[in-house]
Amino acid sequence: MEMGVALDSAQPAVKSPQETRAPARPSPLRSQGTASGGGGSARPSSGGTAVRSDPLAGLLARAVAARATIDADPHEPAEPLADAPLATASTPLISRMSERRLQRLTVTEHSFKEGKCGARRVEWIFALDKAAPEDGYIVQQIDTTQGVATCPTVAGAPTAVSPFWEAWFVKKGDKVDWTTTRDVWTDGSERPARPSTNGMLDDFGTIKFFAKSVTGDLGDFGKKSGDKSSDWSPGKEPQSGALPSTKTKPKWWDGTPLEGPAFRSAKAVWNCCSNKPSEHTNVVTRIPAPGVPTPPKSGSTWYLPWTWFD
Amino acid sequence: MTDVSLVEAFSGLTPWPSDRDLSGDEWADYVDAAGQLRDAEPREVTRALGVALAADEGTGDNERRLFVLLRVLFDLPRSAPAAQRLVYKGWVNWPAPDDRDEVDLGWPVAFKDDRPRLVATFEGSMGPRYAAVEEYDSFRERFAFRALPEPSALRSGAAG
Repeated sequence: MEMGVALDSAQPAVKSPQETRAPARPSPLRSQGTASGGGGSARPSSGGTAVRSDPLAGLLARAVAARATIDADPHEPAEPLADAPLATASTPLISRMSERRLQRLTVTEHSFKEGKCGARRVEWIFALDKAAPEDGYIVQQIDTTQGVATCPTVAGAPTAVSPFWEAWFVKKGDKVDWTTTRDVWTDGSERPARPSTNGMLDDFGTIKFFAKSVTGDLGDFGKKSGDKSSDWSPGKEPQSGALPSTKTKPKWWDGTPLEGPAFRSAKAVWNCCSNKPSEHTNVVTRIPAPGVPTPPKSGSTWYLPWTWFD
Repeated sequence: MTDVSLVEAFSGLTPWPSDRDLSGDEWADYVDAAGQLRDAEPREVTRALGVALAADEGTGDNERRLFVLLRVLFDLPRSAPAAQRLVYKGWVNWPAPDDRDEVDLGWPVAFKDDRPRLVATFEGSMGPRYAAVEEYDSFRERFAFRALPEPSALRSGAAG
């Protein structure tokens, strides 16, 4: 038996995270008033089935909304650099800061659902604020840390799982990869409820954007690299799905990316050992916080500290 | 058969559970839906798969429905070289290849004596949305449809 949970049909069904019916949070990147087909109000109220009476019309509306989302500048109105101290100085250093400020990699929460006993599902959008200056890859390192025990044993210190890296190809002139254009969101992390257990599980992602001229050809979603010696390929790390992925740290990972790093995380700490379900706990925290893209919009946390005293 | 009716057929399926096997009635629903897919035009199927995925609204339910459904629809080898496993969703419990570097392409669904069962539960997922359309096209190019059992034979009360 390969499964981690015994398949005993006599076990009582445990509510899935979907059954909690937490409303999806509207993405701050979404355009307003154009996504009628993608609005939550069209969902049936029972059965957990997201099927509309007019699914084709709904899909079209979602596609239009997604296009509007991706084309829109997520930080409009733009924060002019002139708002910041020293912004009018014309030194080469300030020029570099300006470029960096205008070309950012942003992570935004697209949806979030929380359940019981470690259950949660988060979807994120990874987007460049400005069009990519050349072909490149949004690359993410995933670090999973977990410590889980079956009750009454108390989970010990969390341990780290070997990291892996996955890549989304972004064409020159685009802000997101093509799967984000199609699917509206870029990356997700989901775990179901684990009744009669306690513990912690954190899926932490570090995200950077590199030029293809630096990374080489990593391939694309469902497509192998043209470089037969590449460490990257869809399926190298099955948890990445069809994305090009690798379990080997890229030699350019610690170099200077065109953008980033940005971060995203979904972490649950739970205890479902009590005989009383009302005493079960499940605390879910995630990065970025709801409605707050990373890096933060605030200029005060974006500029390097020394710039204030230059 | 239209893509709208296919989407409605998907919606009645129980998503891949995290804590149990599917019941006989739930498997019968899958076999019934697989029969509808088998009899539909591939173009209608891909449209329906796309519509269902787009309608998921952050639950992941349709990903877990369609992933199981395609494994009911196609007759997939229980043992094949790992290179033949094309991964279209980042499930966290994909089995590693065995000592012969082979994998079960039908995972997590197995059929024995015309009866389906789960060999693994849903334990979580990572990464982008399930690429069900791409997987359907890939399976259709490489594998035959399964000789499906009669759904009525799987329902509760049926002999077996």
